Amino acid sequence: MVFVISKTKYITSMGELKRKDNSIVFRNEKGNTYIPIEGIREIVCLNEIKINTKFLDYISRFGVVLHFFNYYGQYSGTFYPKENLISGKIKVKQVQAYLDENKRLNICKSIVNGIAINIHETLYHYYKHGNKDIKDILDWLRKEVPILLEKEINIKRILFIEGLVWQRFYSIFNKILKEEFVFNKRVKRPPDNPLNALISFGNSVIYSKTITQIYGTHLDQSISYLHEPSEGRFSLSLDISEVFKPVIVFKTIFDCVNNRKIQVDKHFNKKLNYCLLNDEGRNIFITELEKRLNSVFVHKGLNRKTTYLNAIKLDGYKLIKYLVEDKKFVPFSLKEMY
Amino acid sequence: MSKNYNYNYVFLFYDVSEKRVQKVFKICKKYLIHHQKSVFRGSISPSNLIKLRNELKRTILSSEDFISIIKLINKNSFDEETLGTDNKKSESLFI
Amino acid sequence: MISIKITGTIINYYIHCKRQCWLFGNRINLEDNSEDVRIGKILHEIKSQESKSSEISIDNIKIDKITGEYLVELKKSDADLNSTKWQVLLYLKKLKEKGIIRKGKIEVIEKKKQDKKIHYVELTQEYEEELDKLLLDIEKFLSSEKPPIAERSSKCKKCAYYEYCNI
Repeated sequence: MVFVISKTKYITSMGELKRKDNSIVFRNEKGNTYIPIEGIREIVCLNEIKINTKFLDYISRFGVVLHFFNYYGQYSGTFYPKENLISGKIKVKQVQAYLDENKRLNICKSIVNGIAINIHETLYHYYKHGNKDIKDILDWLRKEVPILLEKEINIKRILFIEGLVWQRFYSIFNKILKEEFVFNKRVKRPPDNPLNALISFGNSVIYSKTITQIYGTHLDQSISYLHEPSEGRFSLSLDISEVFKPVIVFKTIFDCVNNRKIQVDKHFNKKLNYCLLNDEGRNIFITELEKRLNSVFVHKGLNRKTTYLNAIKLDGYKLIKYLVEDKKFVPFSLKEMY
Repeated sequence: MSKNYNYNYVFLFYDVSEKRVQKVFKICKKYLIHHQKSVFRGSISPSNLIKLRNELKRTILSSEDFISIIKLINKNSFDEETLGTDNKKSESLFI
Repeated sequence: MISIKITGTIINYYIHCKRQCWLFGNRINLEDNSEDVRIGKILHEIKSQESKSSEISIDNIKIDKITGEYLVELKKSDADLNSTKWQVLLYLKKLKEKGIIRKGKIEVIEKKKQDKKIHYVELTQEYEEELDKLLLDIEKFLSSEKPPIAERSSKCKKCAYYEYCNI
């Protein structure tokens, strides 16, 4: 049974979120908008929102996750409800795997290899449709990256390879994207051009989605492997979200750009030192990301239809299975659909 | 509960006595989106539909009140036409 | 050997599926993960609302209903009555330890396999001995390092652990 129900609300206008009559209401000068508590899993605040503790206590009981983004569209934090799935056993195993160099390296290598596979699959589409310029990078991703990762290497070296994979991926953007979206290099805080604005915002969205999905597992989000656990409270979600960036964020960006759903002159605010999506552009982009996350495919492991969003949670299960049952951790692959 | 189908989307219409109208409204609000004066709609899982139905049953007086629930497989299994403006855009991802 | 308090659910799962038992017993609980399980839970709640009796907790076991003669266990379906039987036997034994003697009654909401909705079970001397042995086995089983590997069968389809086991 699959339910394609988007259980996310994005709040883009200013106002107040409150508990009312055993449900949620969003209130501003335009009036009341009710959000059914039983039909919601997360709320993303993209504007100035007033909330009180009564509201937080209420949504916590229902396990609703609240994410906040700042003016630049950057993720600024999460209200993480009281955890309902706690397993001391899994937490201990998570820490053990972090301390056990072999296990930690295995997880990290699998993630980086997963990124390479999913970038390869994403780009292969363009090669198949006549773009022969990208053959070199395709071959490198498919043949050489796995060899690089097979060697006995330390975590620093793995991170270096990961950096290289992304760098080479960015380096061919000008070959597959519409001309108006020129891309020089990846600039993060704040993004300097339209493409960087899309990447930054998209990555923040997939990160917050992953936090909500991992909330539905027993994993402790502060213990991570590829990213240092000190990088953030939810650093495990940084790890888990990596392989989904090509699948969700970049596929959506390429579609929006090449099919002119998002245009440079219509959908961005440009200032001297930064570039941001405007409200209309942001809403189009979010809608497309949601569509992709909620689209359905047959998962090879389950032999059942499921959504990409659920595949994120399934990757959490795969990690648990590696920790508890020693089953090799293989993150979601767009090639195997597993 | 039907044996053959899983209904995931409903329209709910109610005609209940003034004494209970607030109660019914509040129950529906927990599960569905307020669409028009006495109409709610929205995606709902089969388990939540059972919960909603049970709460309503316990609230209404079956000799006086009348609630109708139209169940659909999903959001794509019907076509919709609107005239005029829907100010609430209740099913939008955005508020 | 570590001592684990064995609940009705654990003994039920042990008979039904050992892997599910190990995962649940080691607090890897995924009960809210399946729509079918959610439906079962709600039907259960509604049924106990209707019979105007609330769940009774004794030690760490939850009993649906208790009458002068019977301890009543409500089940959504009769798909695996044998598991429920042992669950009820455990409850009867716990009650007996408190000096409360009852017979067991299993009420099925939707009958599928059997032709009756109500099934009876009594705590005999034989059952009591078997139960003691079973509880020892379960304790030992739960303290093992890993769960047994998943055996796929038709009963897995509606299980809350389906995704976890098949991934």
